[in-house]
Amino acid sequence: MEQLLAFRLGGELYGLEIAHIQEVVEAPPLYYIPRAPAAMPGALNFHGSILPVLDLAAFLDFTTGKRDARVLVLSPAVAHLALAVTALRGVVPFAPEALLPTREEQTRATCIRAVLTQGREMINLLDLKTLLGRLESL
Amino acid sequence: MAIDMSKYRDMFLSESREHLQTMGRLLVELEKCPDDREGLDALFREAHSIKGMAASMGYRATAELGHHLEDFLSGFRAGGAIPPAAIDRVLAGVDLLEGLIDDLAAERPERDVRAFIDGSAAASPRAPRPTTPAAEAGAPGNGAVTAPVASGEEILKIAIELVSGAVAPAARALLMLRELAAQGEVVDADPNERQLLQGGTVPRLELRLRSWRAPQEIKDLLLAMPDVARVSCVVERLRPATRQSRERTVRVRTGLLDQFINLTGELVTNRYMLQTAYNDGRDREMRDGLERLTRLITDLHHHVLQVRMMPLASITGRLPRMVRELEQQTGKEVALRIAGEEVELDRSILEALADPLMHLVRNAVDHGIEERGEVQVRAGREKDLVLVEVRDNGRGLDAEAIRRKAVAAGLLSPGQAQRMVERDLFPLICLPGFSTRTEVSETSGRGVGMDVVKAVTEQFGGTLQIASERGRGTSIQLRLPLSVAIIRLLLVECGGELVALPITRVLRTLELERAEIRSSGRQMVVPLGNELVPLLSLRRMLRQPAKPVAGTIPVVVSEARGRKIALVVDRLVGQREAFVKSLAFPLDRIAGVSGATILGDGRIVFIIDPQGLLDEGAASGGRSGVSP
Repeated sequence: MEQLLAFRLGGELYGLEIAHIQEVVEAPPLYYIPRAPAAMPGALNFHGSILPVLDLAAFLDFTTGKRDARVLVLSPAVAHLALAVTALRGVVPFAPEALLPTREEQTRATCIRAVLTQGREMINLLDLKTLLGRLESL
Repeated sequence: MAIDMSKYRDMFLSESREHLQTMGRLLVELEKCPDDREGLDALFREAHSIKGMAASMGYRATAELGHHLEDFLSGFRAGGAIPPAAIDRVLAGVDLLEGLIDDLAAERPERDVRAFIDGSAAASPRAPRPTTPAAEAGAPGNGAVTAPVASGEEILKIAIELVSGAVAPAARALLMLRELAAQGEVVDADPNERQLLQGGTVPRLELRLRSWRAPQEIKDLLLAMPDVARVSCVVERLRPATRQSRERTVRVRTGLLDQFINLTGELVTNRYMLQTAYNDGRDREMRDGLERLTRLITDLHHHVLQVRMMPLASITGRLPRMVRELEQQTGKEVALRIAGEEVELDRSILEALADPLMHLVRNAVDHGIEERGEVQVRAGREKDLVLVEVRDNGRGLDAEAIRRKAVAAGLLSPGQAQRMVERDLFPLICLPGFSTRTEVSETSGRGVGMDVVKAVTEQFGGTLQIASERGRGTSIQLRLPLSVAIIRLLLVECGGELVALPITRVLRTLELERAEIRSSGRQMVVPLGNELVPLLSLRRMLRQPAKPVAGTIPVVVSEARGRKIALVVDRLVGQREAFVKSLAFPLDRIAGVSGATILGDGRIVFIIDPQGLLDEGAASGGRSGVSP
């Protein structure tokens, strides 16, 4: 079994594999980034590393409103980036074979790599590769 | 001969400190292995070096103490072993020498060494050295009177007349010369040693000696030798060391200097190439030349940073000594292992790291090791970073104690504390004032704390990680950049936010009165000298909401595309030196933002590049001008 961290973006439920997350930081102070896109509310000082926070809900065009004060710091192997979400839900165990793949164009459009059904809910697994690709043209 | 010794002084200070560190380390090693002949020899050589250097600089008390330690050691060197009491004494001598070096660094008179030297008879189980009758008169440690410490340099001018009937005057003079050489440094001699070796008649020997001895001592020493008819010995005083702004010195490998020469050569070639291309109007060659120039400048920058590199050994030298003292104080048995001392770091990082490293080792001995154990200091390269790790195999961090302490200090609620996993609890020890020990221990409870260790590490763009396992030990890992990019920044406030400009991009700052501003078409301008400089709103350039201009207007004059521009800001905050961190993806994708720095209080400030901001603004059709 693997684990993912589930979170809400607007009204949708998303998830990201725990392995890609280095730490969840409790309400860090965010500092102003000049000329940052609107979906980047600031940068945090993470043990001396300067990481921009990407507001995922805003970036993926969900209706934005409240933001969870906690941010997800991605593993440095993935990117020097922290993610803000609408609300953190919790850790969900899953079997990799239970993931339903999405079509390629769907992945490109929504940054969803696969879908996991859990009870009556669907968790969209975030595709980091597509997400980071979109950041290339800030 | 008036030599300005002040420029050698810093070299003397830094080299002496290195010698003293080495002595400390050797002594600790000798204590474990008292009959290590090579160690004893090395120790002797270190003392000898200090003496020689101090004597040539005219630092009388330092030289005298160095000489004394050298003498003291030579006895044990002959015996082939050094007893613990003698090690303690030499360590005390090393401490005193360190005090003297501090005195000299602070340009104070050297402290008294008499009491220490006179105490040697009682402390030493045997005579320091079988002394010859001739040396007896002036040998140190026998109560010879030393003149008060001179503040300047002293060179003794000595003239010796030999009795006319001397059997082998040349040989006799040679012996005198050598005896004098043992009392200081012979600057010149007439006849010199080579001439004396050829024999012949020598009615008179004249020489200049740089020595810490008083003239009378030298005179007595010489008069005690056979065949001496008359001696004159006067001080030739050099001008006292002047107070000058002291440049810090580094030693540079000659290989590196060769590379500088080569680079200079290439730059000269490059210059001619550009000149030719320019004269002939050949754009392509101009472009190639400029590319080459860019590469050469990068190379040069890289090599300049190299000059600043020093091995970790320059700050680990004190550790064995410190651990030994901790062993004595705590009664613990600690094996200290140091690996990777050859790893190089920027000098300024090393200097800042010295105290934190000592603190970590002290902590490991004090809090980690229980009765006996091992403390490892390990350094190694990890890509562009250097990992410095202090690891012990002691009791490990007490997560429960940290939890209790954090709750007691109001850092966590009891609920939060219970939920927190160990890994998250450990970083709490780096919070200011956090210590898991309730009582302040003599060894760890002073000076820097973990908060300082963390702050220093992060100030240089490094990171600190703590790993610990109950009963297995603790490891503190510092990851530091190899070198630093220190630049001066001007901090300004704009739209309620802090941003920084490299001072190299700032021509001047000023506060404008409304009346000084003119309009030229739709553009506001300000006359500076005989130029009309366009006034640009930094708020607009940063895409912040505009603010009506009112009162005096703080302005930063910079340059973009070869033209002066005046940037209107909300407030000029001030200048500071900062370690610039380059930005990683995705921050590096933001145009006009060239880097960032972390201020002392942990705040992040981004560095903006006006030119980059304007380029980007033009591309997106934005206007940055201040409209009337």
